[in-house]
Amino acid sequence: MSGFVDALVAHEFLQRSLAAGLLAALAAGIVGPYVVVRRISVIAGAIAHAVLGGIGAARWLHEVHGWTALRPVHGALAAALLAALAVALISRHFREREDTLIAAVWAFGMALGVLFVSRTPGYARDLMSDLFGNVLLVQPSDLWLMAGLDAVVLAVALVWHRQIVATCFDPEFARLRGINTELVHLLLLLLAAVTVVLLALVVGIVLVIALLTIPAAIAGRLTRTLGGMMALAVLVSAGLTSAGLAVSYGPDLPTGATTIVLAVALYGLVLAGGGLRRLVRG
Amino acid sequence: MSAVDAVRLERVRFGYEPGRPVVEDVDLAVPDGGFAALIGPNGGGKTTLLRLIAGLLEPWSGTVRVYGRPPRAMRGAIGYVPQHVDVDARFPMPVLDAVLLGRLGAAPRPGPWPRRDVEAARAALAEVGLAGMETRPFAELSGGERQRVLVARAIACEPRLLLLDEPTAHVDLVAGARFQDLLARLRRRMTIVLVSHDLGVVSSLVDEVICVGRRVAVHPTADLDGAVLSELYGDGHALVAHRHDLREPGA
Repeated sequence: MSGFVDALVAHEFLQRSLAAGLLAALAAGIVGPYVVVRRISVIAGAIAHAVLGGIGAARWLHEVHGWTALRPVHGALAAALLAALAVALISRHFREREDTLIAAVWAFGMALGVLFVSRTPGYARDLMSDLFGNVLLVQPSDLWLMAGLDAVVLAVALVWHRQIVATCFDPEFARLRGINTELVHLLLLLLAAVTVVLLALVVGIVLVIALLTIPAAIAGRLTRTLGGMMALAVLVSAGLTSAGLAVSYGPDLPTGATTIVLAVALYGLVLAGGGLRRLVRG
Repeated sequence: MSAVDAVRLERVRFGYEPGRPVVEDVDLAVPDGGFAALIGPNGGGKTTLLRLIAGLLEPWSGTVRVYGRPPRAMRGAIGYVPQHVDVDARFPMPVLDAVLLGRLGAAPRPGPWPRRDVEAARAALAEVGLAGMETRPFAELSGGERQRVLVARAIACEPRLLLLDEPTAHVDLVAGARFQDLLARLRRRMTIVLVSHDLGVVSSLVDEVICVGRRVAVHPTADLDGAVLSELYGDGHALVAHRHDLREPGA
């Protein structure tokens, strides 16, 4: 552990990695509880996988067509927001079963990504870090973008929290109070999309769903209000991304996968603790 | 009391699938200050009718008016109480916060609730007999308590028209009896329309029974007898004998 601290002081890329984890934790802690109580984690999963299409397109435009200003994270953001819009609009206007739609968005994004990979020289090498994350590659410009996205998530949650809560708890009653629940649902999906992009930079798109839901689920076992759940989920997420970095650095393990294993282990402990308490109480 | 009816439906037709109406040619009126019950068999369209009155559904044809205007324009005057099994029972929220949702509107409300809203929510909780439960998690309440929280949420809207969907379904008998007392108090200051399959609730309190089985028949409570019910439910339904308190209209 002291080895990690020394390395952290010495290496700027490690400081950036730590900062990226903390910035992603803020959005994940706020949005994760919404996703968990509204039970839309599978939609978030679809958005996460659709992100590969955007990353692939951005890398392709960058490498093959010389769009040098375009970075993978820009493609990721565009793809995530588009996927969220698509799920919201198609399920509303075509009355399609939502789970079928989610599966289509999920696979379509991945398929697009693979097509772009095949047409972009050298991309196959980077594919693993897009899929499973490589937080050590985070750039200073990524951190600024992450901070900006965090500010957006925080502002939206602060202003519309009660409308979101009302819609999640009882959409019909919310409609009777004059709330546009379809718009609130879309807002929630867009928040999830932004958060997915932040988390994908840290743990990769395949593992996003775990870091979005597990800290919120852990917090939900320990607190009884949504606000409390958010505060605790931010702390748990921050602890997990930091611990993932620290634990993986020495033995040179993949940081994203290490973080997820730690998250699931903690979740298991909290669940087991709850079970044990019930047993003791009889 | 104003001359305009609290609820008026004229030739209302509605269904969920094209060509298959759930309610047809419905004409009914509930006067301001009235208390009407929609009764009928399961799947007969009671809840559908209540949702049409609330403005949650738009009729295929015909008109729905609440105090003379379309329900959507009168949202602020309507307090709606769904069945407690229709809301997310595991939602992490203290009781008071659930009731405060009745004070919410479309405009963003960041920051703490104004004191006036908190006081209205506390008063509504006291009204349903849940004073002191403000900080209890909604998820830990019994079915009957949850149902009363939803009534408190509707009262917190300070409605002129209270719509209740099967308020005594899924609650035990004691809770059901308390519910009747609550309704008896509330009817003094608001018009009430409730959906029920429970004739016990209906007969002792309401002015008017509206029998719903695709088409609608309106009966004063006193006329409710075996012939009406067998027409509605089909033969073979036992009618438990009970007395009706005859009320003067508008009493």
